[in-house]
Amino acid sequence: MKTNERIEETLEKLWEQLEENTGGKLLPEILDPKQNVFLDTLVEKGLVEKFQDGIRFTETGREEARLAIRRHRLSERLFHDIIETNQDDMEEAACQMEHVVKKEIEEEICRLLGHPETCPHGKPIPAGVCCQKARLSGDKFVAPLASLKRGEKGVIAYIKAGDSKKLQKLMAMGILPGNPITLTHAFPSFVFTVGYSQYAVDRDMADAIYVKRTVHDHAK
Amino acid sequence: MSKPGSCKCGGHTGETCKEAGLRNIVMVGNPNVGKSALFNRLTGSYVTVSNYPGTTVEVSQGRCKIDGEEFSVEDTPGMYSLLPITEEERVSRDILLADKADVVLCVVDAKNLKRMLSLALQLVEASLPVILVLNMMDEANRLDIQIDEGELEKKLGIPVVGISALSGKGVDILKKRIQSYRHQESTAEVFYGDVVEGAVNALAPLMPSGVGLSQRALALLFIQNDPNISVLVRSMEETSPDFLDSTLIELEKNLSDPVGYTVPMMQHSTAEDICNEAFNPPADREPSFAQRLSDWTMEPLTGIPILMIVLYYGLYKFVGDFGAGTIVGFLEEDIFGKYLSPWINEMLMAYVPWSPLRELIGMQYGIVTLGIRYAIAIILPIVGTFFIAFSIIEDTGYLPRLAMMVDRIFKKIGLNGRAVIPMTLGFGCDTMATMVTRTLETKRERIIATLLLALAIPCSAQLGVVLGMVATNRAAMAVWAVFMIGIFLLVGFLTARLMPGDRPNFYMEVPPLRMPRPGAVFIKTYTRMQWYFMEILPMFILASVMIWLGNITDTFKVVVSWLSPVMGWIGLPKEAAVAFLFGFFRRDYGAAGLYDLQKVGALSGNQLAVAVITLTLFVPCIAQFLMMKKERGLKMACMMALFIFPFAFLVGGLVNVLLKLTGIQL
Repeated sequence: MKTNERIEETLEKLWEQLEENTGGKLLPEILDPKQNVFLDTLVEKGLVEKFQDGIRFTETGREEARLAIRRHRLSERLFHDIIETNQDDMEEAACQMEHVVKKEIEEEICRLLGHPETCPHGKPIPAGVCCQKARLSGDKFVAPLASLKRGEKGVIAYIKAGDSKKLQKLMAMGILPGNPITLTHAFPSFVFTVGYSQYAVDRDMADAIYVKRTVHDHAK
Repeated sequence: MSKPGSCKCGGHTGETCKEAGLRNIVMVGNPNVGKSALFNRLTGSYVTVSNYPGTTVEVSQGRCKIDGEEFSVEDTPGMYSLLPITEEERVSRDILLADKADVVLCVVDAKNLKRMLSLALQLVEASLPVILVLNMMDEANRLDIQIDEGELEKKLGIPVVGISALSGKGVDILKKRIQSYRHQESTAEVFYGDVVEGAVNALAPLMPSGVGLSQRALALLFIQNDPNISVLVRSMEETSPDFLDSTLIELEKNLSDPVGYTVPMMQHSTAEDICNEAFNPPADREPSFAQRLSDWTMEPLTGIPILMIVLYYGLYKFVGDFGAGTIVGFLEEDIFGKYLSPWINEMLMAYVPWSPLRELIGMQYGIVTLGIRYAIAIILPIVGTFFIAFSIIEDTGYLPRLAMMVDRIFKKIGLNGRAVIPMTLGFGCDTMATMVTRTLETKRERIIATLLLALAIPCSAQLGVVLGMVATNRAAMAVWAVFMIGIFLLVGFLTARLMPGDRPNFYMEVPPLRMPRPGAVFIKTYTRMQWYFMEILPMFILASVMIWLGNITDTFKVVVSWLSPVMGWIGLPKEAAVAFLFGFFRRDYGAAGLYDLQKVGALSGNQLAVAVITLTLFVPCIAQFLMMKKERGLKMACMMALFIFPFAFLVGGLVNVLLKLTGIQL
């Protein structure tokens, strides 16, 4: 692995621990020895700094890590949603791909995926410039029905065609792209309204329905 | 009410009992649009109408008289599209495929015209003689939806009639349109784009002709990979498989989306275009009370208490207290106990000199004193009250909401929320419920549901008697309930693990909550009761005769003597063997036998718990077994029975030992 890639991988791990788990500082012991060796390099490059008895990101380091994690999770989404590879292949392919994605391509992928907010494992994808623009311009976000909030409205964007039986069932019931949809319940099953009909489906089915969300941006 | 004149024709083959010379009306449409209600209107006969998608599992036949001319009418299970997914949809499609219908009524729910019109288009495209029936116009009007029927007729090229099957409004006009129906020349067609059209045009001439569906419709089904049509086409001698395959491959290559996506998409967008001018929905409205109540039923925080209330008042208070308590008490103790049985026995003693004959009619196990007494005085009130409660709940549309609530739990036992209908119906009559397992999608689900019904779901008669027995012993009731729920989940869980198969998907339309109509509830209860009685009364009488035969030939004693050690092993008195022997003939019969035993105080608390648990698990009754054989095949039915029989006693013994070891006295 090239040095840059190793740095990116380490930054991603640090991001998960610093930003998503413990927050703030981190004791060096928690890092495994391999990463520990790297710590010096990272400090040298001005990406992290010692802070009290742990470490923290520098401003540059945080931004680098954020982008690395964004590329990784976008790549996962790409392989999961569009190419529909299985879990193991997805991880492997995403790990390779994230290091070769250029900025423009990253935005293109993000647009293609409809500026997703979470990776297939449900972890948040840091928003890129394109996401913010899309949000500001009132552009729609595409997300699986299962990730909508209760009461949220949108328009059905597409039905994931991975399983043709599932597709056939949903389409036959009149759950079709272009129709407005409202999620009314998300637990214990998903209940939504299309037209004058209400439907109940399980998570599996709800994950196959992709919805263009109508964004009310005052929320965030 | 007129006498039910419909004959049920066997479900799966689509065979008909059409009579020569009569013009033939076939009714098709999405699930839960009111086909059965319209069928009842047209024929004056009765088939079950309910607020639950997919209640009709069999094809019903009837006659309808319009202006002196008689028509035969067929009501089919609901279908979403000509391309079937479930077994019932296949049944309906096969009827259209096999029959030359003179008029096809495509029934839609008017307020959902937009999405249901796609089926109408498919039927029109198949050159079927379609009349579009907009049902539930009253509901659509209440929602301020404007539908331009003239515009629809023009666009579709077929007659369109708006009706309300429940109130009967518009049905007369429909009848006139049926009678004066002439085949329409220029009807609507869907354009699927050059690629699909090319393939369809190339394939259509190769499709079988002279069947119910046009060659174009068959070609469309064929490219969507309909397995039945594929077999049909490929079995024709003159078609070359190479040409079929190459056309399909070519098609797949030139389309950016799968065929299974493109074709329905185009059908729906055509339907939408037609609706744009003819269908005018109002702007958003405030949610009504029914809508808010509906939301509460599907919210765990409020839904579970609502379920508890439904169970407490519907099942415990109404069926348990009122049915199994008050009415059974009156009929059993007063009518039979004080008057009828003693009177019969006196008459027998006085006029019938031959003792075996006396035993056949009266005395301890006679046809009247045992068979008819059990059927009328114990089973009838319990089953009757259950069916009333069930019909009310069903009519409100509560069951799909319950399905949504239990789906996650049912997934663990290899089923999905959809199975809630057979499972709850099983608490009424397991035989009926076994028949209804047909509505489940996969074979695996149907097998698991059948097994669980046979094993762990007590029917209302059994439940009533069991609850009656443990009513005074709450601890025994708790042990029974915990064990039954545990076994239901455990056996379901293990069966699901043992049987390979895909995870079933849960998807279901949730119909609006409606106020149950007393007339409908009455009729539904009445038909179910009638079905039940036709089924059980002969069985009860047969059982009495068998027991009588067993008694006078002493075989009965021999079998009881075989069963007695088993009773001893699970800690029950010897006499309980008789009740279990009865259980072979009918489950509830056995329960009623135990009830007698408990009344004379022959059972301790622990024995009571063991007895009711074993009996609940014990073999399905003969009727249920026959239904299992019919639905699942002889081998499967026997395997299940062979599993259940030792399992029931094993669990009984286990409960006995557990109670002993822990020193608990219930």
